Amino acid sequence: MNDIHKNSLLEEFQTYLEQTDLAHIISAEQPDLSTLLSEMAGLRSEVKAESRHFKTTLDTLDNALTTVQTANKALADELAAHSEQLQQMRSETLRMLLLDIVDIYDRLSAGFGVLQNYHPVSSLFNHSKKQDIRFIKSFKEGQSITLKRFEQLLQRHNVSSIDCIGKLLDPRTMSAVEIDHDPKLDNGIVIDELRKGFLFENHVLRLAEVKVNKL
Amino acid sequence: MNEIIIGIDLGTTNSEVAIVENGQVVVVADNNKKILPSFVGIDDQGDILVGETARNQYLVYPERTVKSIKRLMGQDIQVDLAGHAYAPQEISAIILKRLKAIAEQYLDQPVTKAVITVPAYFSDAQRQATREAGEIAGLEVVRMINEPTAAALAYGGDQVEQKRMLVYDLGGGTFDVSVVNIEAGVVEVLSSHGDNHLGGDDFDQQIIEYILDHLLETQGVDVRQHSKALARITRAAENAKFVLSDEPYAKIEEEYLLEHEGAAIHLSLELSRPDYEDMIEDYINATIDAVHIAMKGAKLTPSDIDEIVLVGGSTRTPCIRERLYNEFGFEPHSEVDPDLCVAMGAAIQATMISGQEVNAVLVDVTPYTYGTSAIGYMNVEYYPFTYVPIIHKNTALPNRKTEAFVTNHDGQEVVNITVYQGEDPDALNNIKIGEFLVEGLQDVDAGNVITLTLALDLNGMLHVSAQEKATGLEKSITIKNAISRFEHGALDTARQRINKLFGQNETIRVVKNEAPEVVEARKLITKAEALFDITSNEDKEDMIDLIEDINNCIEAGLDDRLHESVAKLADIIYYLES
Repeated sequence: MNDIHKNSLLEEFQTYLEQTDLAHIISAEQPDLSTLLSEMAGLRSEVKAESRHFKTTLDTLDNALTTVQTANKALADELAAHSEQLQQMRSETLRMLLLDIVDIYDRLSAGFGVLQNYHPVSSLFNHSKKQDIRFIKSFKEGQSITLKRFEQLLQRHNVSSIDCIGKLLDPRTMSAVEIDHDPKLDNGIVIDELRKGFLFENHVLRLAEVKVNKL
Repeated sequence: MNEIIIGIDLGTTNSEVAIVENGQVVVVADNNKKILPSFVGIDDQGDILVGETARNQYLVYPERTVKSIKRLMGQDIQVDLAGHAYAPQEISAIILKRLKAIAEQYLDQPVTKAVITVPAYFSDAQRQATREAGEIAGLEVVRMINEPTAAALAYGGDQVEQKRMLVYDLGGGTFDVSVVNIEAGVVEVLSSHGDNHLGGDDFDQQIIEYILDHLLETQGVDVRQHSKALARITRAAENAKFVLSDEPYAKIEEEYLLEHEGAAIHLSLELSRPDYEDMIEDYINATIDAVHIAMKGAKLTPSDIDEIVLVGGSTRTPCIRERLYNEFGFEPHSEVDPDLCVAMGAAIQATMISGQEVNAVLVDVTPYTYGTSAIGYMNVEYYPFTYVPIIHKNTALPNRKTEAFVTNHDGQEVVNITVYQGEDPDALNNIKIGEFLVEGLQDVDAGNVITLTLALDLNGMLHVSAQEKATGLEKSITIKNAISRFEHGALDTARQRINKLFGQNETIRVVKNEAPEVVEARKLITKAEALFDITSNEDKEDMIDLIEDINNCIEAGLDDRLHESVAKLADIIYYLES
């Protein structure tokens, strides 16, 4: 700061002092120190009280935040649990439906088996009518297509049949409901399948009921 | 983390494990199955099989499969399992270990303590063997409780009031009946009786025989020789038994059952509930005799029994409920799943031991009986409004039951269906909740069968449908709030009845919902009036003025003035009382 600048400032200050009436400052009574002190003390306690309030507010906010966070977490857990439950319910409903489909498939297969065993009469004087033979043949073809449709449907839903006959009894997928005695076969070999078993996504949907060789 | 004590029902045929989670009883499922068959076996590779897998191989490998080990508990014998000798408690331990593992997997924490149930008739040796089985399985048996005790606990046996319960337990292959006394939360078995070889499997066998006889008679085929067909009949018989628990008829149909002389044989047969009940009557009689023996053992008469609890899947047979109702005069309880309630009771006991909170097993039940009226007999007299209950009180919801009725006269074309709520044998003493007509019935002789189905859901919606069995002609109605309706109806009836008693007319005073200040003011007025006798005339006058003022304010809705007057009156009362 150079001298000119300093001087100019000093001049300005001098002008200010001359123009300003400072009488009230000089004439004012000296403050009562004890009142001032008590007011200052009052102010201090007020500030303290304010800050206490502020702290309480902050604590409340903090608590509210914690509550919201906890509630949020509980809600997220609940949502996850519900979604898992929904998944389980869906899978269970599908399972029940597939079991019903498999049951209808069984019945259709039994009917198809009867059709397959049909042989037209063909003796010297007795013959089945040609149109009857044709009717039964075409009916059998139709049934075979329907059965295939069912098989494809089951396949699409990852349902596969359990292969039993000629295999050793597997108690995890088959249930032995009857025994037979065939010395030509090993002990525990499945001779016949009394009810087809199915796997759904590699878990047992329905146990196979089997007749097993017992030596 | 709290130490969990599990509850185990170690049964002859099946076993279950239950825990209490957040105050609620949960029967833990393994692979969606809550019931573990009590079978133990060894497979081809020498691995242990427990439950269904062991049962699957029992027929072929009885030498390496054990079933019903419970019957041998406490005996000094060894059973053979794949060439090795085991004590019965060792076999039981294998089942317990499996149940422990199922619980541990569900809880995701180790389990070391259990409450195990045993039959009431088990001797000290049998109980000791069960305790040892637990120890071998790595479970400290903190308590062993009797099965009927566990069932009573599942039905709130921890209540303080004293009561006597009859626990009727009919499973697949065993029957037990016990009389228990409950006092201050302590359940004591007073007597017990049973039959080790009687159960629902016998009922199935009766239906199978019936079907086989029918096929022999109508088709001339002995199906016993055809394994596949026999397996299908066995399943169909079991299914028919289930259907007859809720409906009066079961259609047993099996198409392409077998081939005979070049033609397919189908099974199509209807079994009515009365016919089925005739088949199993001897078995039911045997159980009722056992009930009498147990009652005699406890030196009690039917009137001393406060509650009956049904345990075991076979108690779903309706005639059991009816027979017990006839014997005791009140409805047995069956709302807690009868297959699982013993395990649930064990879990409740376990939680009580560990000092944790447990709620009673919560099941939504109907608090009332729903039925219809029919021509019949009441007190041995002909009566056209005999009440026929269809859905019984305390039945778990949702529920659906069907009953059959017949037309009364030849050529009857219309039936009037009235639905009631209540328990009185006279339908007219119950509350009518719905009515409809089924018109256009066949012109046939009296005896045309009409089935009436009542389906009550969790929201109190009662769906009622009546069907002419021969034609399928059906009419139905839906009654909303069927559960709460009676409460309002009953209140009105009760109010009218009380008013009549006091000689008042039957107009019902409508009580409006009043503001709390007004209610308080009215209370204060009553209080002031009660003090008139001990009050000086001067004060009394002031009080009367204030009361009048308060009444005016209430009527005019002047809240501020009401406050003022109430305060003044309260001052006077305070002054008078002090």
